[in-house]
Amino acid sequence: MLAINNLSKAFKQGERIINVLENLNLNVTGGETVAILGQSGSGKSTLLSILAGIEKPDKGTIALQGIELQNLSEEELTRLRGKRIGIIFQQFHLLPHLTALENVELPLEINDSPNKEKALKALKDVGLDHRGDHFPSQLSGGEKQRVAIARAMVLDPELLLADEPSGSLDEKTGKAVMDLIFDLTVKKERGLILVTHNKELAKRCEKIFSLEGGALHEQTFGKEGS
Amino acid sequence: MAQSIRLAWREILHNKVFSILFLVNVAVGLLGLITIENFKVSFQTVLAGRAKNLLGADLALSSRFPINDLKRSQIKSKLSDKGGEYREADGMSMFSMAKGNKRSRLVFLETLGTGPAPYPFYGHLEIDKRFKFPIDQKTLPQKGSIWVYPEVISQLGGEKLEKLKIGSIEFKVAGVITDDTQQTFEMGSVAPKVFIREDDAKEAGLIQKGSTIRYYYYIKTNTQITKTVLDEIIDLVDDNAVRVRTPEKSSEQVGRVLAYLSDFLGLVSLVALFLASVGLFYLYRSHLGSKRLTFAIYSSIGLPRSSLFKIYLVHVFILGALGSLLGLGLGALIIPGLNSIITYVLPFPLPDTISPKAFLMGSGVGIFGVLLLSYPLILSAIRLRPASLFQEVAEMRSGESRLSLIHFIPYGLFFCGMTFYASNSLKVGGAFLGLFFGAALLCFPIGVYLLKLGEKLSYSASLKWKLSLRYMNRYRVSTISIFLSLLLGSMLLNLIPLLQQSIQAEISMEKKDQLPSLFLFDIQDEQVEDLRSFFNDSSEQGLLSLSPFIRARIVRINEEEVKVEKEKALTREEEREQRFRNRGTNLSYRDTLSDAETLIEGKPFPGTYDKLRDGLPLISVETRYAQRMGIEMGDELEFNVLGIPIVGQVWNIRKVRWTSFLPNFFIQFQSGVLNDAPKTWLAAVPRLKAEKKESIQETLYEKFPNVSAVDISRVVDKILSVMNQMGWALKAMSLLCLVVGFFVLYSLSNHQMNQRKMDLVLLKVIGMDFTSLKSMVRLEFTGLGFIASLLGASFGMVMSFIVSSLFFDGLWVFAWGWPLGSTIVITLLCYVTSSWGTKKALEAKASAFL
Repeated sequence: MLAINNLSKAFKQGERIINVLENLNLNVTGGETVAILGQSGSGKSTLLSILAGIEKPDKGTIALQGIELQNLSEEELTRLRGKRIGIIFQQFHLLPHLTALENVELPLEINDSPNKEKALKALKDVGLDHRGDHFPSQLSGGEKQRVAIARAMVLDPELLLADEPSGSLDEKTGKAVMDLIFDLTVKKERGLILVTHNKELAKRCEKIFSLEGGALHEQTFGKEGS
Repeated sequence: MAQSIRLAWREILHNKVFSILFLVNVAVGLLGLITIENFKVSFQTVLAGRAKNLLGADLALSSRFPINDLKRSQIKSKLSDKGGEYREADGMSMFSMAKGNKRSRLVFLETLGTGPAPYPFYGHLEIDKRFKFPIDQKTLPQKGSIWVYPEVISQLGGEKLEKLKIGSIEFKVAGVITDDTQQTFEMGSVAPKVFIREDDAKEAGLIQKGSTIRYYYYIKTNTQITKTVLDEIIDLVDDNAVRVRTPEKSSEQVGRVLAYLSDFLGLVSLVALFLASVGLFYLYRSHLGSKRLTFAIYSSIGLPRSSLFKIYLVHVFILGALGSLLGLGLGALIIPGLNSIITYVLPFPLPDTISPKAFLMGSGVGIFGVLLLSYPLILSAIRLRPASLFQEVAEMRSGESRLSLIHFIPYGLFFCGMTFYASNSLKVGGAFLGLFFGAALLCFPIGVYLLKLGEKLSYSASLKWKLSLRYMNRYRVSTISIFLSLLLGSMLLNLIPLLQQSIQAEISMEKKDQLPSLFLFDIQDEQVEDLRSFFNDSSEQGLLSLSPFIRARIVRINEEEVKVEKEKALTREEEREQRFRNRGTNLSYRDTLSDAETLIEGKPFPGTYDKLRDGLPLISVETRYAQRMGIEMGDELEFNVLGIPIVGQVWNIRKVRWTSFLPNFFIQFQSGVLNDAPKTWLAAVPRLKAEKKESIQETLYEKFPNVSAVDISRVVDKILSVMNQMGWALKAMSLLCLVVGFFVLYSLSNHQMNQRKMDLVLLKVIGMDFTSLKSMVRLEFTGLGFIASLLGASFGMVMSFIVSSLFFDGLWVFAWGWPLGSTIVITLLCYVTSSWGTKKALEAKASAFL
């Protein structure tokens, strides 16, 4: 489903060039869960940005279901992202002036297929169908993240990217949210790339990589598997 | 304090773009106020400095009757009781026709007295640039000679004008006045001046019974004429038909016309100030919004909130001060240009520098106003607790906490105070503020309703409409406040030019064919029939509104004596009321209303007065005169007509269209009361072609040399050209408002976009394409701008109609150019600034989320 070959990305800081990613390779099949571990500054955010089509690599290829992302224009990437990739952020990032239901329905509207029932179903999948007309300011942290998950899943994307989704939550709520994410991805057989610094969380994925020196190194410490 | 200044200065240096925008906003907003205030102060200062030269004496009494000996001796003993200098001189002035080489025209005669002390006591007349009278040469022109203003030469015969016939004598033109320190300007002054010896004026038959002569008694004294002394002299004179003037009062009168203009322009400059305030509000709010995390961090590391408040207050103080200085600098550049426009109507030049008062005013408003506007924003911004640092960033990014409206009351009061100060009128200032707040109060509930409706209707619309209307409705306070700012700005931008156009249109060329050609006065009683026959033979329509003119004085209203007002007026309304009370009254009588009159209260006169049958004689009063004098229906008014008391009762109140230029009076008696009183007559001559007018004037002068004729079209032309000049000042001020408006729009759109940057980026991440995002943002701002400017222009038209009806006799002209133009310009500006202001937000990288 996702194939990354010899991906490289560098940034200029004054006179210095910092090679954030160097000849990175990754393959993710449909229904597979992948964790990427990395310290701060290891390039996790950069990798995620490239995977989401927000940034373009300097070198290498990245193909999603055979479509090479590095050749697409920004508009094409945006459209593709809207249809095929769901993103879950650490800070939830819900639109504060929209209700929970409206936030979930937003991707459907953007793709020209508004559907309240589908949005409501997505909310139901995360257990929040009864809170549809509440604004984000009226929801707890865990509830907000669940709405964000519903929004990410409503279009049934092939790939789900999660950036420290439980990072802003307490342990219990975080676990509940992660259970939900894994549940949904497995049920719908979607690919999940989870970026985290939490080894215990990473062990829940089928594959674990650590991002070091700009490249991914597969880890083999005991994992839960699906 | 030093720490606060240091941190505040650092804040300025680290936020250069914001600081520059702030400074420019303050500067441009103040510019209008500074230039108008400077103009007012400079004019008053120069006028006060020339006051003695303007009056030519320390005290002047003037009346339509000679000042009697008793009053003279009483005044003399009051002013010279401690010894010292006391010089006196007499003078007269009157209108008369004069005939030159080719034509006859109305001139204004001033006599030069043959008394012991030559007048003017201060100032001079410069003749042919050769000598100054009475400084260099105390002798009058020779008998049979006159000195004339240059316009007399140009109007009456060109450069070869050597002789001028006035009355029964043909005078030699002995010199042309090249400088007259007593020269004032009058809008639409009807006749150029001629200086004539007093004895010549008598010999030429110009001083006759019933002639419209004004008699002057001039005094030079080294006794200081304080207010107390002046009041005593007014009490001594005890006659509201006698004007008592000091140099100060004289200069106030001279400055009155320009005072009205500067009041008007002052209001326009307030529009710029208001718009600049709106711009500053959003600019600073946006800036402080971006600082909230910083404030929370400061607080978390131990900086007390009071210190933070102080730092940002100093920050705003410095910015306000720098902005004021910039505004003053810009003002210094503009003032020479403004002076060159106004020079057309001024008799003397103004200094091209900023006066200290204008400097203080500009600095004061710039600093104080900015502080009052900003401190509530600072209070709100620093309210964020450090605990929020431990919460989700999402709460931090949402921008601002609620503003407490109470904290804006001081600024509101400040703005109200500025309005009354700028307009110098409770009525006009009150109306301005009433329009303002009235529009705001009206728009708010309407806005809320429309936004809710808009969101409901958007559900079936396209995505960008749905998102836009939903956003605007969910943030409706913010949306409506932006909408209101644009609407009020547009309304004020339209109101003032529309008013100006209405006033100008009424007396403009298009209406000229309805105006009479000539206005005649000084017609003697015995000449009426002959004059009527002359015009019946010479023109198709004959004479219009032939009206008797009787000089009198109002003595009592009901039981209350009408006394001369001595206290200085504080507002324009009080000034006007005083003028009305302190002047003589001209009476007339008529059976029916003229075309220029409309009855407001009461009924028409029932017929000619019969002493045996009827009670008190009936009076008709003009409405504004009635208001200013406090006269109502049924009141009894007593007049002194050449020593004879005449009492009448108010029977009706009427409105007069003064711009018809037909003879009319504040007080009209019914026929049969004053028919035998000594009087002259006024009349108007209907529209004539230019050649016919000239020939009639020639013949009129030959047959009726004492009858004065004012050429109405020349007066109207003069008024229009002066108004055009003043109109330029108005246009310049309106342009300034537009420039300020541009900054405001930029600040507004920038503020909005800063609020929504993260939301816009999120929409991009979720999949909304750049084009849709851009058009959504433009739709919101441009749509809002279009509707606000259209409504504002409409409100402006309605308001100008109401103001015209209330203050300008209902003169209102529908002129679509300015409303349409302002709507297009404002909408375009909204489009441009929203594109420019949102560029950064739209191009922000989505990776900011990761």
